[in-house]
Amino acid sequence: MRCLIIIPAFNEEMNIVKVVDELIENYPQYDYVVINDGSSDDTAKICREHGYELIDLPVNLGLAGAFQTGLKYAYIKKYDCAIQFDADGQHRPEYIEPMRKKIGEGYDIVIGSRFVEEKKPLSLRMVGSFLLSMAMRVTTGCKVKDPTSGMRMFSRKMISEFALSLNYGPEPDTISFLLKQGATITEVQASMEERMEGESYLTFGRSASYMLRMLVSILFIQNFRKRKKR
Amino acid sequence: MGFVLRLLLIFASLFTTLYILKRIRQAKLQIEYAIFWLLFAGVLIIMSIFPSLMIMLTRAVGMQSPINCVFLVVIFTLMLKIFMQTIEHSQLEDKVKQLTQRLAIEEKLRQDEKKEAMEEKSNDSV
Repeated sequence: MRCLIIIPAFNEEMNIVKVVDELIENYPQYDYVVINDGSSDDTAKICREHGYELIDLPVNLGLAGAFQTGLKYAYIKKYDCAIQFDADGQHRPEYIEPMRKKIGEGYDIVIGSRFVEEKKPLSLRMVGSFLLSMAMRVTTGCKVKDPTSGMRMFSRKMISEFALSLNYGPEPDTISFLLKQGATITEVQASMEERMEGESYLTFGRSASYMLRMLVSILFIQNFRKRKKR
Repeated sequence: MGFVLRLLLIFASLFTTLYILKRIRQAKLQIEYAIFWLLFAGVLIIMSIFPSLMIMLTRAVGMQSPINCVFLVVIFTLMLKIFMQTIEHSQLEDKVKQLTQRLAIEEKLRQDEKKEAMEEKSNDSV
């Protein structure tokens, strides 16, 4: 079973080497590709100097567009599954294997979840996570304990769907839509690190507007979408 | 606010909402862009159903008639939206320009490489 690790990177010159080197040294059984999302720093240059597998986007597309580029590549190269893997060192590669097993068991989407075995801490950051879990529970009937986890693995079937359609961002609202359409999902416990260097993209204002968008989308808009038959 | 005007606002908002949902259904519209219009329609509906809210706001800002206040809110929101769109528009134009240039330059570089490879070959054979 061939698995592609997709690493979207936007201005990650401080972290990218550590993250990719660990994958190359300790996990040579997986293929990976760095998607440089039009970074304004030296991310692309560093990747070329180290000879990393790189897709270099000339302009910034945002996370959804960058990740979709990776999925298109996975689709063209006929991978069996693909995983979204952060370039800032938050995600641990040892959890890829258990997630891959779940895809092998026939699941469409596998989430590397922080809260399968551990309890969700009560903090301001987790209020959003609670709300999204609840919205998905109400609309789909499925329990997703960690909807905002960025570590998601997709099966071959999902890769083609994500690669070729509009409104398939790698976000909780798409997951909610697919669940309603009968996609199967499971979560695997995966603890995460704090980001290593540099600043997080998520400021308070951005988080708040993200939450508003996701809630309106999950609770309202997704009920009206139609899935294209392929 | 007159009864007819309120009905008009409600119908226009409902129509907008239905149209936007239809476009999403047909996969012609990105959800990020739909959110604004859905919220906007929602606010218009709330203002039409509960005019007392607008009357309170009208008093608070010291205006004469609630309908003026409705217009003010709508015009101000739309102005902001247009301004944001102007910014997005110019960024988009720049991205398209950069993409076009990058494509053209890469094509040229590939041809250059091919030409160099050919020249090396012919030098070797001489």
